Amino acid sequence: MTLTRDEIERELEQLHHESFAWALACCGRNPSDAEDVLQTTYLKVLDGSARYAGRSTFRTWLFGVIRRTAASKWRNFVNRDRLLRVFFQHQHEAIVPGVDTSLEYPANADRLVQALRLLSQRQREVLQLVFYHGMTIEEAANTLGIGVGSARTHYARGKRSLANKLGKTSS
Amino acid sequence: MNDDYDDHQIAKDFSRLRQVELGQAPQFSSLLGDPAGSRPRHGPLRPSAGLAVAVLTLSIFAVILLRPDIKSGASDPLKDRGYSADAIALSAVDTMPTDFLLDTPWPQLASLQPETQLLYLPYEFLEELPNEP
Repeated sequence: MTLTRDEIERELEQLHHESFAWALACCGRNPSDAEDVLQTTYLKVLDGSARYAGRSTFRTWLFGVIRRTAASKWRNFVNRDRLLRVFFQHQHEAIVPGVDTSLEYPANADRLVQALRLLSQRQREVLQLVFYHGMTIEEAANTLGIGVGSARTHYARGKRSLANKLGKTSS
Repeated sequence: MNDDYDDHQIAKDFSRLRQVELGQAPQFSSLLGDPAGSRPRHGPLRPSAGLAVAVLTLSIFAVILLRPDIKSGASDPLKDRGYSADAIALSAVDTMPTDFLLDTPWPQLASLQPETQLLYLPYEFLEELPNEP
């Protein structure tokens, strides 16, 4: 299945807000990192570096590309930070992307963001895809490139853990 | 499982978060632009940068090819350092202050060598020496 450039642009535009939200989740809710990742993803998709083969829905595929792009950005950052630490002999202070965020959340949403940070990455990702983006667990597993059984386990454990954390903070 | 928090409440919290975050999304068209910073480093050069590289390469080749000393294949290190041709010629005939050391007067030195005579002791004389005590 091959989409023309116009069709791809149309699909990207339709999914733009969802994609931004997913990029935010992949970048520790740092909006500038998310924008950067999203722009790189769009360039990849439009110049053909990432090609949609039609094996899944366009959204599932696009979310996978966004996730890989964010992971690659993170890896580059960590490697650069490690080099700086070696050269400057621990005088360099690490700036961890995703920790500082300029988004201001209302109290309820902020509580959820803080609770999500305490979960493992996989649990956070599965819950985000299911509850936030309305995917099925199968679609979430496809996006993350993991088995459905594994995704179900992450979903169940993550939900239990999140409920505990939110229950504690709300009481 | 925490009874205070069920799926419905989690979904409601996510829904609130979604409302906040989706409102913060940048314009789609602003991300589709191609600012210089977003271009991959390994990608092709921009036309202006490519032109600048081409002009620089051509000028380097022109300088190399138009220089007669390099063209003939004979490179003079003194000329390369900026000495004039006259200075180089003068330095070729000039004598160095230590050149006199090369003109060693071997014949004169040989005539100054004192004449030495070998002393030949007659064998008979040795035989006439008295025995040691």
